[in-house]
Amino acid sequence: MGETKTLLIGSGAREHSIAQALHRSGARVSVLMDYLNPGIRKVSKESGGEIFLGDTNDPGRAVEVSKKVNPEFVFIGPEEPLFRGVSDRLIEEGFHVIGPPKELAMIEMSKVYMRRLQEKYSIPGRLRFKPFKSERELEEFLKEYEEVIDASVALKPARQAGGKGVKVIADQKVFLRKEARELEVKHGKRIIEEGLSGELEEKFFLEERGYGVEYTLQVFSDGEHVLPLPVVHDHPHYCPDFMGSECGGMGSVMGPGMDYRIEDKLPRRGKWVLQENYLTPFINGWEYDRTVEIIQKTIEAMEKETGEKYKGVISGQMMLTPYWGPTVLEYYSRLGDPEAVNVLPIVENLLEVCEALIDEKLNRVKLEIENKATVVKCFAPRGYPDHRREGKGKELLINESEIEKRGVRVYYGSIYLDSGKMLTGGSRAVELFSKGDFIEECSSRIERVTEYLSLRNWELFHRPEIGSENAMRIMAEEAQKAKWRYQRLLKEGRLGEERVSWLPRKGKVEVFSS
Amino acid sequence: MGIFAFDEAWNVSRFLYFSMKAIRNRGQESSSMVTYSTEFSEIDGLGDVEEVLSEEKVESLRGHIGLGGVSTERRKIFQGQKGKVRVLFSGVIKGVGENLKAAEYLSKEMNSFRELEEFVSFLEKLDERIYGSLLALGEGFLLSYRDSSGIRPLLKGNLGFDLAIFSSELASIDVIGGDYFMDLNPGEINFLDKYGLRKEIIGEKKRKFCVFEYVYLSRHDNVWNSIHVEEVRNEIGRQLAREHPPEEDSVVIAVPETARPFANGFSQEAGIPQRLGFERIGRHVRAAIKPTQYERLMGIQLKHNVIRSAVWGKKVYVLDDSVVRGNTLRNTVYWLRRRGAKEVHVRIGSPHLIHPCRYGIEVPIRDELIAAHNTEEEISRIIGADSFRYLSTEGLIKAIGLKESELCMECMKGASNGGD
Repeated sequence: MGETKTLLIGSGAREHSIAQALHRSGARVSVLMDYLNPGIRKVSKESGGEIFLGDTNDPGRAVEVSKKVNPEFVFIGPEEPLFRGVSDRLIEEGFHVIGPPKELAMIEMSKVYMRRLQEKYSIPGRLRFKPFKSERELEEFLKEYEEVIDASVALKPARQAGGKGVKVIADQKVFLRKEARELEVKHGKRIIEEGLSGELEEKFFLEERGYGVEYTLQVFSDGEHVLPLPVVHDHPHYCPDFMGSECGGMGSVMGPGMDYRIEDKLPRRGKWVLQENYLTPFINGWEYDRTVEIIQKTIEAMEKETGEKYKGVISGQMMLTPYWGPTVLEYYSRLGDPEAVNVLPIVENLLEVCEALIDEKLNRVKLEIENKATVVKCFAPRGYPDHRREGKGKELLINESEIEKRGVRVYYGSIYLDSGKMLTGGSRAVELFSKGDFIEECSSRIERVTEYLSLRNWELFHRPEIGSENAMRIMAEEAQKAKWRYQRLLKEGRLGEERVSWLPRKGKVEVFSS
Repeated sequence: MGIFAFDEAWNVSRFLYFSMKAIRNRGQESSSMVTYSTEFSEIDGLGDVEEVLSEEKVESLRGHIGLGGVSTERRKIFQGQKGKVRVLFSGVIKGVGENLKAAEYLSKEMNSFRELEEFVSFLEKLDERIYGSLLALGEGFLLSYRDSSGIRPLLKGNLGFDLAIFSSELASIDVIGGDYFMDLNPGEINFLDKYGLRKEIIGEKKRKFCVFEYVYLSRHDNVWNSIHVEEVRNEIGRQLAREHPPEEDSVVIAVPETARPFANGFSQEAGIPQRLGFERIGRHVRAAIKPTQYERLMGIQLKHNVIRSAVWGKKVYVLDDSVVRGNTLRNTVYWLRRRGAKEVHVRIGSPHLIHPCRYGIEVPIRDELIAAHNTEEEISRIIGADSFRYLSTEGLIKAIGLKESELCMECMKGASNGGD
């Protein structure tokens, strides 16, 4: 039984992995969750912690539970409690909190704030953006913005709404621009009608679409120092084979300090090459350091703006693009889900890290982590992400011991215990984790246990190809294209330079996109 | 080819239209497209994509799912007009018939299907007898299927987070801005509806990848079974130069447009220059897939105007992709000599065609195949060339880079290599 009392707030697979890593490093983990997650419940009990149910977004409830537990620190898992001021209230009451107050969580909550901050402080890795108050304003803007090759954009609500309302709209062909524009306006209208941006005056914004490979860098920050974790690659399409709309992520891959190289000769096949400078399949040392630098500069900029120190986790949801190399798509004011589940199961000293964070001594602690590849695949009920209601309340049938026997670990997400049954909440239900020397090996290990989980009378789906050789090659090719271009720009000192076009009779004009 | 939009706010009809421009090489006698929103709407007609469809006509079609198809036959492409499933099929069902008949059969049988499970159990039973690729459009869903022999190509790609695209040509994914990632595996069924994409793999027939795709049918920019067609064709050119090295101080020219990569490879391997031997007069038509001899010859004569400076006084190696009837080559050799070529040597980027295709590809009946009745020397004399050589079957297999047991070469070797 752990000696150090801790309190965890949150109910999903990310929190399951946090609880486990805290427990493993010697903590007693009490927990406040919205529903009875069977995985968190088990870990908490084993560690000698107490379980509380309640609204995790309610600051009052959080204070009440914290007073009962009297923990050394409170670890807030998800973003919504941060947005609702749970961290602020706990700090007011004198608790140590891992999770920033509302003012700093703005970096995730308001994407417009984030982009303006980047611009004001000239932080590298910026994408162009433009906020709008109405869809009519958008229509007017689009009219002036015809003569580009690639007018693809991301259209996002000004406020983070659990990933809802974010839409990347491809527009690379002038003869199909009409369709893309119509959809942009329609979607802008949808964001307003669904009230996704709440009371914010600016309702949504356009952002240039980045091309390249996506990755997440999760960083612990004590306000003075940062402790970065390894890079994880997320898979945002909800269907197999890179199909379908963007969702919270259907799985992610990490490590193992190997470089995934594509052979020049066709047919291109990839191979693993051991290279010390590489920290993940597609991100090299320079790119990693640059990403950490970007995140650090962002933390500093926020401190200048608010006078507050960032204590918690900040994650850069990044993309390696041709214009900048490391480029910020968005920030999380917390660990990623599923990204946390790639990393935390192989971290040995999470408690030590958290204690150092509280004491503002992160520079004195070394992350104890296995040098392994890891793969996480998410399993969701049919209906996720656009028809969640249909996938609610289905019974999960799972043989955990058979799965664990085969070297795969189970993390419970949107699953709650009700009269002895495990029922789905409609979102990603289970995340399976595997570690090994190679990503492909971990991926196939997970595929071998899929027969041990299902839903009664309802489909449970996942993306089998995550971490497969083909999927790795596709990501590596995307990364390669970005590297060829940005490395040349870097050499010439032209990273992030203005993109201009030349129009007859108008001359040079800056363009929003390519 | 077919398109499915994950967000119903998209209208895919113009995407289909531009996409279909890139499958014109697969048939110019009939063209058709159909979309579904709350009901089916369709345009069809006899002729090339450009003749049958126009941006204006296409505008009137609404829907977030749709199919587009072409044919080398003059016929109605989409079967199932009375039912709830529209079917696009290219290939053969043993005991039923080829393209049109097979499509009729499929649309009748699958008429009332709505769920993936129904298609799977039907196709599982049929897979034994079916050779080809299938797309089916229903009320709110799109199904794609490549039979377990894998005889025909079927590629899939996406357009960002918005569209799923299926086609036999990579270019029809590219042209609308999409990205290609992979083929459907042999026996793979993809089913798309509002819940997303679901996959099943069925059947276990012997692989039968059609070599004619690599030699002739596909566009140069196609990729099939992860093999790049242009690269295979370049290697075929090199192989031809290795098998029958050309004389020094000669030039190589391609019979446009399909033989260009052969000529590139031939020139690179043999170290002789490549010249531009022809300029086209009419618009691009694929003469060999035209139905009548008159149309084929007219096509070829408008296609090949000889450029005098490229051939005058030279030993010319002419590279073509295949010889079916020999007529077009006779015309080519005739005009090359008229314009002053000193010698004309013909090299063909495929082995001899001696059998019609039993899997629905339009290779003429045996009586019309020049190679079935004549040796290389005889053909050389018939077409008036100084020499005439095919690529060897071994050379072709090597250039493709797959195992012989995975390839269908029946039109070149007969059904002896495995049959079915």
